[in-house]
Amino acid sequence: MNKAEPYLLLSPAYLLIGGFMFYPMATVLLLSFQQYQLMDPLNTPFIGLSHYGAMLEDAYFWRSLWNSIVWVGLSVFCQFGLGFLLAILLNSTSFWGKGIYQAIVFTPWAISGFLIAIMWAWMLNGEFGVVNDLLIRSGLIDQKIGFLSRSDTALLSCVLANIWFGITFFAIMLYAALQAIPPSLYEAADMDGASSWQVFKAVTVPMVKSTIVVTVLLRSIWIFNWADLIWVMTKGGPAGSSQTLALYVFQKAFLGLDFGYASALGVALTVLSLIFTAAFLRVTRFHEAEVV
Amino acid sequence: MSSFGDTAMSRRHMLKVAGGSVLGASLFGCSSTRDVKPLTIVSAMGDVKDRSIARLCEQYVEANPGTAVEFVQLPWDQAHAKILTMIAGGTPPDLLYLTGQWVSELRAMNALEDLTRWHKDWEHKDIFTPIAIQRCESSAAIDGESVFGLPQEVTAKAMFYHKQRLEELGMEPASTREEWRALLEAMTDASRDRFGYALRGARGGLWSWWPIVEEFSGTNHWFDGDNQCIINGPDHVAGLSYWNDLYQDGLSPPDSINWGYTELVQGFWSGLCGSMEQDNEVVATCLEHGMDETTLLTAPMPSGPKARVTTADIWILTMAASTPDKDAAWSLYSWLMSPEQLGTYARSTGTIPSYTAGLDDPALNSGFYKPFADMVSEPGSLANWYPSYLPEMGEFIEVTVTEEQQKMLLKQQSPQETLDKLAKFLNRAQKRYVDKNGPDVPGPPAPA
Repeated sequence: MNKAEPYLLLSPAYLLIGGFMFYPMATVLLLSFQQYQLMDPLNTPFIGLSHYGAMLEDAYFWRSLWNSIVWVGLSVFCQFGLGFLLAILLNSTSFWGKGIYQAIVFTPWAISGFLIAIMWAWMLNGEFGVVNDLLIRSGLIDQKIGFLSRSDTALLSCVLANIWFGITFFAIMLYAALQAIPPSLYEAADMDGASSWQVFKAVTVPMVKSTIVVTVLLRSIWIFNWADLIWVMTKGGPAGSSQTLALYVFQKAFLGLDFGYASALGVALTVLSLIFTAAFLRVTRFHEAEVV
Repeated sequence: MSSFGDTAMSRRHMLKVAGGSVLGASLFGCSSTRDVKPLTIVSAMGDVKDRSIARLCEQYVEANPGTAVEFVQLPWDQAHAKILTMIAGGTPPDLLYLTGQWVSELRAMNALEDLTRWHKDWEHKDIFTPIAIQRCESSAAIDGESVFGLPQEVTAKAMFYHKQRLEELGMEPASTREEWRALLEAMTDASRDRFGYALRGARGGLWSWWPIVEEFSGTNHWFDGDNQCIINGPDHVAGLSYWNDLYQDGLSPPDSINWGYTELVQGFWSGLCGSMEQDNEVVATCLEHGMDETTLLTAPMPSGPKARVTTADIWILTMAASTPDKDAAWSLYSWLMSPEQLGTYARSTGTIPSYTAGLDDPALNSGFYKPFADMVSEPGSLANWYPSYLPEMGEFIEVTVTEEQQKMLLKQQSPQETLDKLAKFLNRAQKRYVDKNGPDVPGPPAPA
């Protein structure tokens, strides 16, 4: 076999990846070192690390970063917890119509993020929202709450919508992993007299650990980069209280038309994602996980 | 330097692809003469108006065999960025409809063609109304003897009311801000989900409160003779406080802090709010949503303590400087801007005509549209104005103002602190502009 042949065969894939992934990434990296405002496209000098310096002094950047941490942390924690619980319940019970029930439960994952955002924005609406109506009828509150118009509840409202949406992702993935665990392991544990908690800790969790690590990692990165839901529900407001880093990049690029600074923010977003990924894989000792 | 040139080229190429895809996204085929390179024309004036222009383009092609026109409709929210992307990428359309606020920045990019050589001998060059010409001048579309664009239509703001709500209260449309405030208080009943005013607390809020600030301060200037921002003076603060108090006193829905254009118009026609200030084109939106002569009333804007402000803007037709066949582009341009076509357009869209004879047309100067026509022809009113020549204005209106006004509405800062921060932003932007272009900066138009 000719030595060059494997490279020749791989070259179309490399070209596609290079053209559609690395070229845009390299362009963004280059733009982050340039002054590049769309309103002044003929004046785009290289300005070194100025954007990165400005970012460190940019209060909006730090606020957006903190909001991103809250947004990702709370969303993933609750989505995972409730999703895992749902998967275990589905896996351990059997009843008539379970297939239909599963299909209904998994529906949110099939709905567009925009629709979910619109739906929740209406549900949480300060004047006509069903949530306010239910809370008033049940006597829990006597004044309507503007969930999306208060700085202390806007981000949490978006997190709530995101949790509802993402539970099913974890449920689907973990349910599939749970079903792949050989029944013999549970039978052996049963014969050894293990309690339910011991079975969960020593059999279930280790056997689905690789799925847990991958899904939590993927979901964290997706949510970190996901701006649609917040954009539709609050547009990052009021007064930036629900503005995340991904949304800040969008606003700088497409509302502020400052592509240079937005690119620098985008690079920071990518670097933070990479650092998080490396740290997460190390902490969870992914390489030691069982592959089901 | 060579590496800079190379990167500029590659990026330009990328923008070309992006610009090309924008063009391809929403083409209206006005014609399909295969062997002729079509002229492209871009508009983001809104669905009804864009359809009217598309129909006119079809008529042009029918009347001029051998020509072809492609009409591109852009969504308003994205139009500014998309037009800039097309130009930066080197693929601008031949003709562009621009708002008055976009002209100077495109001129600064050398993107617009000077039309003077055709215009000076054009038979219809004197047909336009004084206010339309004045707005062309203030937006730099007409610059001394040079002409870079001519007015398609004038848009003006007036007050929209729920007629039944006024009749229930036995009240008339307000003529002063004091009366208007009393009217809003009478209209508001939060327990029944009824509020007086559809407040624009999010994107574009400046367009609502800046005219009020002008009414209270009596000036439409943003900077003094030394190029120092003056928008945080006591009278300006009084104007912004007036607007802020409408929200703090519960005359607008709490959720209106997150309202942009769509939500506030929806908040009005749905009956949640009894009044709003909006452009004439929103009349059509209200009618589409079931309002009619019995439920909708339009009236001139109330006046403030120091001035009545006319908020009028224009849509201007311009030609891209890079158009290959300029004479062919002028042929379409001059046809579209002739009185016959402007009249057809104004009648089919219910807009305020930009040509003098059009104002005499009873169909265009009656009913819901009369207050708008009255607003633009009222003598002695103060013309609302924004320093659109500043490149940072997009970020200022879209991001900075939204953030700071919301902090104010949330009581995190006072109107004074809000205007101080905005003035600081504008001082920085003005300094950059002056450093680059010299101390002679564009100013607001002279009184009509």
